[in-house]
Amino acid sequence: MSIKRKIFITCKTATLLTCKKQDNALSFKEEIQLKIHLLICTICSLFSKQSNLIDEQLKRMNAENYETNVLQLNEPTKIELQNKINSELEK
Amino acid sequence: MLNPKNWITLYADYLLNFAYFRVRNRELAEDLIQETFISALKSQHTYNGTANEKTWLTAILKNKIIDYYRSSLNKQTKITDSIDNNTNNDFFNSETSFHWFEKKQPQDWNNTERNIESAEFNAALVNCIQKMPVKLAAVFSLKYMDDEATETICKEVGISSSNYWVMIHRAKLQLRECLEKNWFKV
Repeated sequence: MSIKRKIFITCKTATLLTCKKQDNALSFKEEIQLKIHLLICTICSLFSKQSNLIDEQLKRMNAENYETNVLQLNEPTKIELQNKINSELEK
Repeated sequence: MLNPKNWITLYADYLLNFAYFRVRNRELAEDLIQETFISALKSQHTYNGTANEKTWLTAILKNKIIDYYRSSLNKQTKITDSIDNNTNNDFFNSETSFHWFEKKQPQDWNNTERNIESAEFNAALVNCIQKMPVKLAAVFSLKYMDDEATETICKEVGISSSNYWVMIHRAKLQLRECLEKNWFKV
């Protein structure tokens, strides 16, 4: 039983290890455990594939600065802020 | 050379979006950029010209955001536990030695004709990130938007590395599921 437990991990653990693997944060033992689990579990394999896909897409989006130019500060707030800065500068 | 007279015109919108994307609350984002400009003015003497003005201001804002993350993570430690123990929200069945719940199992995305590199996919991804609970979003955005190392993140927000992985794991499970519901299933 204890050897079995050393080799076979649960789907919950396998998906956690998948996240760690993407960061190269697995120990040798975990690496083996995950490999074996993914060989026999198609659902976790699917998760692993999709998780990688999401990571790649997030990286691509970051490179394109996707967060910019959605919101704009409204004019009165801008003027108010600039006045605050100006008065701070005169101190 | 710093030129505070131009800061608002040049950087206010950029910084607002940077903050909004990470804290997901406009009012809070506006407060944070205001604090950023004030701190920047007060620490002008520390500017040594190696980074450009925009990068320097962004770094100050990032520190403000991390302060916010740290306080929200520490304030609600018990909520983290409840995130993980909430059975409605659970992906794995403790009664079947943690196999996937059937309705939570990932579906194959290959049989959809949707393109993962499209603008619509990015919009869905952003939308799903915005829906994440605050605590998960904090850790998630440091890792994925700011590309920081695990060790750095744990130190910055004051969590253990095992806690960090539990949160990343949970965030990834929820994000994947959200994408499947909102994007792949037509």
